[in-house]
Amino acid sequence: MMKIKKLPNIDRRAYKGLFKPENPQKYKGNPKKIVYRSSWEKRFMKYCDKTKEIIEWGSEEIVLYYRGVDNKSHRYFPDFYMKVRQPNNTFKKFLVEIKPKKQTRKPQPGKIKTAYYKRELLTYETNKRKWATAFAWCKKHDMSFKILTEDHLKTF
Amino acid sequence: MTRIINLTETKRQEFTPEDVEYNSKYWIKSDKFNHLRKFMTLVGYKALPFKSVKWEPIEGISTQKPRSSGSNEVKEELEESIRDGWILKEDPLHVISYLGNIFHGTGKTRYEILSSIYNYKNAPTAIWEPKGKTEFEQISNIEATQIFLNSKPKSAIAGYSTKEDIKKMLISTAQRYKKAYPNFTDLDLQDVLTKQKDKATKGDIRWKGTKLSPIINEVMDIESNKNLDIYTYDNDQKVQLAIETLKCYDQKKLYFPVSMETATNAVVKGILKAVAQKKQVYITPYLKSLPTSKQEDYIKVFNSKYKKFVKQYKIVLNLIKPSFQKKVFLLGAFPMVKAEHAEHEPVKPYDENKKTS
Repeated sequence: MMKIKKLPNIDRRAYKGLFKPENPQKYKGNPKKIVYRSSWEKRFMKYCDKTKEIIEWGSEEIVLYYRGVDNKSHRYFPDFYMKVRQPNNTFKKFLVEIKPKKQTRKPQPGKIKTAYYKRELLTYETNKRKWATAFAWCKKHDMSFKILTEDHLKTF
Repeated sequence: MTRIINLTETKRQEFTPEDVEYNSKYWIKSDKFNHLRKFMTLVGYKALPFKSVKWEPIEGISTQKPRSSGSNEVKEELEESIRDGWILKEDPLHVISYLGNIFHGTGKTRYEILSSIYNYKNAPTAIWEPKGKTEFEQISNIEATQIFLNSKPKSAIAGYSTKEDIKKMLISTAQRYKKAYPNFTDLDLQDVLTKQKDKATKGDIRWKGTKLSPIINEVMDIESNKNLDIYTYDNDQKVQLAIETLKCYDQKKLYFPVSMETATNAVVKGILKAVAQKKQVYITPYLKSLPTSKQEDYIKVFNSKYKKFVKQYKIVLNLIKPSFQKKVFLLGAFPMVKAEHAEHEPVKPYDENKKTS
């Protein structure tokens, strides 16, 4: 029989695109180059754009440097930067990372430690390092670092 | 490169109020000066008042020994030239006053600087002093300006506006920073380098749209303090940093992190340390690091084993609640745990070519 070549599953590709803000003056950076890399990010961008309390926001505009698992320096771009007006009329700055809930928890090994598990563990360790850096950096700069999962974003 | 001129040996040149008034229209009130001021403010400089600049001759043109003819013609001419030279006739020179010395940004020798002033050709339009509280900050500003103003001789300009130049500049900044602040962390260094990069390139058309963060990344890789990263906690400084990032951190308390193997030993060690400092001891062991599975059990075990010890030093055992831990976990601040995954296996970079069973 003739072998049929499998076509790539288009649906599994990452949901990615350009976001057009309604209030470009609020955006810190180039408002023509706002890229969302997941539907959750897109949802959060809409929220930032429309919410009055968020005075300023940016997507992947801040660079942090962390040491990776290979003991080399790498760059980390937190997903969002926000400047928010608090109820007492003060301002607070946030760095926000959006991740699936699954990736915020340590992967559990099955009976056989598969390559998939190892890859997951590596991703988890890398993420942990990124977040530890971001957390410490935010503390130093009087900001706060938040990781949002789908649980948080469902309410937006 | 910048050259340093020592101005300490000779007398101060004085200017009359009329001189200052007359020259201000060519200097502070001129359009060129205003234009330059915008740039200089950006890179961290302030303009010095006209009279505060110590315009004095330096070695090379003698002021002490008169010539054989009798009068010191060179000195007199130089003084006059400086006075008249405030009138702007050609493109501005870039001159910086720093700690009583003058740095010349054009890469010329000091003989050239003086001769140019002496020949009435180039008059300095402004004297700038680098801003900054410490010597490190001031020198960094001077260094960043070299890139920003591209202040090399015209013949060398082509080779000066490359990424390599910026990398060299950042490396020297990092090295100087390490000398000035030996207990630096990676976080400090990345802030210093980012600031320095911004000073040297922000607002400069040559670097518009160019990503320079990979250069900082390379410099971080070379110059960062690899013994003091924030991911492994094998010395006191790292541990202190890790503890300070905890949400429950309280400055008044002393914290002693403990590992599973050395929990009790570490507690005892910590208490002895705290007692030496005459402080109340609070111990916050991390739940997973305790020898027993339940935190309450640990208190019982510890109290029974070290009954006298606890009484003698009035120890308070303070444990983190499990519900709070979850929050900390979600925030990614998990510093108290030493290589958590090491219980299972060490994490190595994943090799795709290797087949797993």
